[in-house]
Amino acid sequence: MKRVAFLLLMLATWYLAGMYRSRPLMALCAAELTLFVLLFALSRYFRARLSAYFPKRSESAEAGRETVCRITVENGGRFPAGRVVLRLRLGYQNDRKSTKRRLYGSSERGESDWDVRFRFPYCGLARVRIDALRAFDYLTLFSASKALSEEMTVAVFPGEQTLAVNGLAFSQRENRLDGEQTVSRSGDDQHEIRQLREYRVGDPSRHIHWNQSAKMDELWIREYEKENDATAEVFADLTGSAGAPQAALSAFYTLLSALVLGLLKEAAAVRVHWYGGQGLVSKSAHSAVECRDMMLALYRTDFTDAGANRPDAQDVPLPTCDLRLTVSLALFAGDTLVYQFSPNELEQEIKEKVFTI
Amino acid sequence: MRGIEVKFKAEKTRSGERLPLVTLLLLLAGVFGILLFLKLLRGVDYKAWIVFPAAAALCFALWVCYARYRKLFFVLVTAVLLVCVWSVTARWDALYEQLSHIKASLSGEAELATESVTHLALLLAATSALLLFALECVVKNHALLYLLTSAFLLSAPLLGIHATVETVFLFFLFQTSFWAVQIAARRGGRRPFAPVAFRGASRTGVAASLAAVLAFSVALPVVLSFSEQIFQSVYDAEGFVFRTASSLTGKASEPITGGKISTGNNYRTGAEHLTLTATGQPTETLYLRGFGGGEYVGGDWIRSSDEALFENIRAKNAWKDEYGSIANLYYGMYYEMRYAVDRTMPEEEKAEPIGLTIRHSNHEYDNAYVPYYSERNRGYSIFSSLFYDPNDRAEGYQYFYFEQKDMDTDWDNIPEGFEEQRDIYRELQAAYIAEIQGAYTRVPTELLPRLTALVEENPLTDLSEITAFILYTLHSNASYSLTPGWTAFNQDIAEYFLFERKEGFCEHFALTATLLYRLYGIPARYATGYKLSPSAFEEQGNGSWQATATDEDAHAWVEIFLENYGWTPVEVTPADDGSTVASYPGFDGVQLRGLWKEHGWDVSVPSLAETDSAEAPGTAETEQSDFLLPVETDWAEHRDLLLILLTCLGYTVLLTPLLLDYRRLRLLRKAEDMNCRALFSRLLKTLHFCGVLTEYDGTEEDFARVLSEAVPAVSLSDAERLRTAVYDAAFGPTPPDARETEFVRVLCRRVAAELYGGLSWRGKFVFRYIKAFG
Repeated sequence: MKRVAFLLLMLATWYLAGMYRSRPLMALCAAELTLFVLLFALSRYFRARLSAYFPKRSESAEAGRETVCRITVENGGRFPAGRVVLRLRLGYQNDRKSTKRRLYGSSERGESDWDVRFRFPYCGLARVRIDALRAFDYLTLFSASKALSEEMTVAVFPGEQTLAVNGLAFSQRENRLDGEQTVSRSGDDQHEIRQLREYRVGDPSRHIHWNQSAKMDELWIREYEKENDATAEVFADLTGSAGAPQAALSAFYTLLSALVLGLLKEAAAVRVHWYGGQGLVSKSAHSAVECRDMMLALYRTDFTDAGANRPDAQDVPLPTCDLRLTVSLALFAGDTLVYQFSPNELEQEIKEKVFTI
Repeated sequence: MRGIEVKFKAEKTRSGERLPLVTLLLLLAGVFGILLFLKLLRGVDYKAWIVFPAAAALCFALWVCYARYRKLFFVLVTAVLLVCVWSVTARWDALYEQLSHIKASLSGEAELATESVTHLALLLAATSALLLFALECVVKNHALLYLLTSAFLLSAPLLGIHATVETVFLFFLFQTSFWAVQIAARRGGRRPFAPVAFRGASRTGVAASLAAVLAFSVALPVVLSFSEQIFQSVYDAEGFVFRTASSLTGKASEPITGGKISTGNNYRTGAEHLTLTATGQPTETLYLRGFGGGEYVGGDWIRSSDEALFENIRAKNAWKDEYGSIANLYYGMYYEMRYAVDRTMPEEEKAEPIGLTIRHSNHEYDNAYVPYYSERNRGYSIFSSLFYDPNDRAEGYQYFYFEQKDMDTDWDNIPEGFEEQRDIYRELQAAYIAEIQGAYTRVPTELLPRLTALVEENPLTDLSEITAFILYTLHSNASYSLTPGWTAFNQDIAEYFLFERKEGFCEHFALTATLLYRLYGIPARYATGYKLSPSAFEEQGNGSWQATATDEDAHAWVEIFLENYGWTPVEVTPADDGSTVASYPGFDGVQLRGLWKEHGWDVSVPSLAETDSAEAPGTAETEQSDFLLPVETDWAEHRDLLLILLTCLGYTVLLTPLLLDYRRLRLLRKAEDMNCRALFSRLLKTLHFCGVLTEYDGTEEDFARVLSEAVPAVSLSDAERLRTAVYDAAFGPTPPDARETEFVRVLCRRVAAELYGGLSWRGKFVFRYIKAFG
């Protein structure tokens, strides 16, 4: 449109200059024409000299929050470039859908850093790819584009929400899954009692200090010291994950992260197991940082192969864990459904629900 | 599903970084362009040495205030507006006069004395500076100004304003370079734009300006060298469009009628308009008159009508009704007289009238084309069978006419019995001459002040002398061209043709000649129709002679009234070779050249002074043959520009101390934001500039000691502390805190103040204003 308007104006100048035999006006028209050709050549020149890349090829981000990633636009030419447009393709690893976005800017000689703010709505492994670079002349009359294939991976983690889970009794266990352990175990004597306190709704009955309760004529509860080496076992059941929308997977990741962080308040470590492309994968987390590492490992699971390695497909029993969380947001303690989370109310449920198992 | 959001990190820029220096220069280009444009108006002048520096100072003040002192900017704008309002109200009368003068200039008033409009120019400078600054630098809307400046430039020729190279160049620079700056500095909006660094926009603006200068530098010599070919390309294109449209709409085959003077070019299609069949071969150029102009109303002629004149004759002369209709008598009078005289002459001396049948190609006969000295044949003569197809009898009309050479009728030697008729004719002729003195000498002099003045400056009474003068004026000043271009909308076509454009075709020559004749008091009419040379007729098998009149034969000429001849055509358009071919009974080429010689009228030298346009076609060939010539001859026209540049240079020299001081303060302010390492680097430069510790680069072990020794203002402990702070800044785990940085800064100042005192005056100047060390 701009080019057409420029040409029309040039044509009008040419016509009027001719009709009035005005050499200055004809010089203006000729200058516009020369500039027109010059700008066309400049757009091609800039295309050849410009490139863009990510200085850091991997980044981390928190879902729903802005994160700044840097794109470097390099101008190897001798002139500052006009407008530069980068076409980005944004998507998640296991999601075939991707969106395109354009970034506009200009580029001086040498390198220019564009600090771009991304806001990823879902958890998972996001991919940001620079598909194409379009270089414009100074007046944006012409443009020339070239394909690029610069990619950056962004691990998008859930927030720091924790799911309140009480009542799990952790035993000293080997780092193995033998399928014999149960979730419901009585408090044993190995645990040192930290203090006694009044009973609150939700406290497990097996922690009631009956003697003290009898003396004081009200219920008293034994509080134990946290087990130093107690490990909670969680099985992430990825059944149905292949082809699941990213929103559903994001909800699953959010819940799993909240569960692990919640369990880390009770246990020294949380070990999460899932079936990935290479079979059973187990990752332990002792802290929030390690929880992110675990999540990253989970993100990298190829869900399309996950189904093929499922134990039911190979007639292998599921590993026995304290808790099992499915992609459909169902939390099981053993075979018992503890709670079915709703994807729409997930944030609220994580915040408000307290589970005593 | 919510998508992944992408946007740019919010930029944090200082307000001063938003206006690169190049914007000031481009702003000046725009304002100067507008002011130069004002100077192009005819009869308008102003004191450039006041207006241009004032505009430059205002632009500079606006730029500095907006960039550095934002609060002062609004004060400045308010002050400028108040001053503008005050000057308008305080000097309204003078301003009103100046505005009226400009209005008169724009409306094309020819006789306009040059008047100084400095007051108005100053107001224009202020308002245009404010407007351009507001739109370009505050609102950042360039499109509006681009269109506005384009409208200025493109409307100039329509108003008869001849844009100069410098005006066009300044506008071009302003338009294209500011466009680039705005694109480079664009931010925000719906699209995600990367924040632009101050330096980026500046460099892009400079690069775009250089591209614009390069483009104009390449284009200008090319246009000056090949201007005629380039202009011809416009006419070729327009001609192609015109011919195609005429052919498609069928207008090409319509015979010409009407007296509207063309304000554009004349493109011919070769379409057939008339078919002429003559009983004998014409030996003279045949003029077929289809229109006679009675009254000129500015670019158009109202068709002449003799009916009113005949009524006057009837009323004044107590015309005897038994004479019959005056019109019938008058229109056949000269033919009848010739025919009557022929009766007394021997057979071999008799002039044979030529019978001429005219057929219109479009078969429409609303308008007739009449040969001179003719009489219409309303019945079928003995010649009818020669040129009437029995199957097509109703088509066309017929005239009998005598050629001009046969019209030398001796009205005193007529056949017996025809005296009474002759006397009636004489009486009628005398009455008619008396009437046309009033009817066909009217000229709207208010539209034609320059033509009127020309006639007043060259008083003549003799018809031959008048004709010679008219031909001399036309042919020495204007040349024939079918593509003279357009006429300015605010000027009369006749004056524009003769005094400005100096190019035209038959319509323009005939129009101007007719008006000049009338201004001299000679009854004259503007006539259009067809002009056919004898060679256009070809003999047919039945003995008749046939010719075809196309739009290429369409023509315009002047007709003057000659006693015993009636209305007679005068050819005022130069021939193809540029020669003058005008002749009529009693006036021929020999007489013409004799009169030219007698009066010293050299037709090869333009008799009228050159106008501002300087676009005379004669110069075009010169420009083609000698490329440098137009540049040399243009110096006189660019005198104003030189004056302006010199004035600006003078003001710049005067303002240089202020500019240097401003630059020094700016650099010192930058130093206030420097970190420890940058300050130390600056300190070293200061020392080296003053010739102190030139062999030291600050890394030496004994640097602190030698510094304290070389500069007494710095104690050893201070020098050690400086060294420690700089060392920490360069290699320490944490950079020095603000207190230490401030200490280094103060120390640098102290060193600069100490060293400054020991410099020569030249060194002090460079130290202070060029290097800005202190």
